[in-house]
Amino acid sequence: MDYKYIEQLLERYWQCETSVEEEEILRTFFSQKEVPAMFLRYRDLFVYEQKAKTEKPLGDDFDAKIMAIIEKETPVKARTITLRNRFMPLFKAAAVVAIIVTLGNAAQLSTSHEQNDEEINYSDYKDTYKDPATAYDKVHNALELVSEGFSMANVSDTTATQNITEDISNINK
Amino acid sequence: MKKGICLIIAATIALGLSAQRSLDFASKFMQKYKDSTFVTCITVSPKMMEQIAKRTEQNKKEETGHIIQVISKLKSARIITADNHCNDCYRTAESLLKRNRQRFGHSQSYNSEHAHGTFYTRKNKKGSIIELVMLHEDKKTDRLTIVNLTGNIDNEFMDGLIKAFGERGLKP
Repeated sequence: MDYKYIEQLLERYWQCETSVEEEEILRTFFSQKEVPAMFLRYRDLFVYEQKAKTEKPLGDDFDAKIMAIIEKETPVKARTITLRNRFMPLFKAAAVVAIIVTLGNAAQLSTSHEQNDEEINYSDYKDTYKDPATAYDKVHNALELVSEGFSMANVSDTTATQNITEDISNINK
Repeated sequence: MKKGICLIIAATIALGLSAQRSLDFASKFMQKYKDSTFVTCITVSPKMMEQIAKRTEQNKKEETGHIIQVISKLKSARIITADNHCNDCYRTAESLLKRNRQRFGHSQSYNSEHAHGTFYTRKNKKGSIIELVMLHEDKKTDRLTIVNLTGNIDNEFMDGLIKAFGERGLKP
């Protein structure tokens, strides 16, 4: 059998000059059960193409399957929060407060030994009177009262001492 | 980094607050009665005291010579008067002094027909009296007077007080 036509078609095929009908002819030829030995090496090429054509296309349910996979809810891993983890921010805050209080107390303790030497804070002092004469009168009155108080205190001490002395002498009698 | 800086700032503030200068007795007492209308406080600051001292020095007369001696020893003076609830105020003042035993020591008390009172002093490490507090309640007028003096209340001060207001056997 003369396969010259097939050879010509193949030549044209390699040159990419074949038409669709001519390529169909080649496919039909190589789809036969018995293919001449000289053309066997080309068979897989045309049969593969044929196979690819006969393969079933994607079905109507393909989209549905893909969407189902996409929308499938992934299971959320449950994270166990221990009681310690819950209270950790509170512990941190308490630690910070404790540090600050400790520092404050340490400063207070260090200054408490010199408490009596502490200077009085006069910065909040606001004079009641702007006139020194008026202020002097008030200070004078206050000093007079202090003097009277000391006087009364000393009189009381003297009286108390006298009373005690009398009691002791009465007991001795 | 930010948290560390905030912590350092907070610690510094706490330290600063703890190490503040002290308040005098009158300030602490007035904190309790700051909203009351029957308690008044007259303040003579160190600056005003200096002006008084200068003024008395300039107007030096024989009778004020001893006062100059007394005033020169003072740094400040605060006079608190209460015209109502005198007994309660007296008790509050006394309890405040007793609560601060570390700072104030009882000196003398007196009780007469028309008045009663007490003296508390604050001494420094050297034993010098730097603050004098006098509580005086006049039973007749139902009036409480608190005199809070700061300065160098030493023998010279007492000496001047005796000479200025008469020798009545005063003892510091």
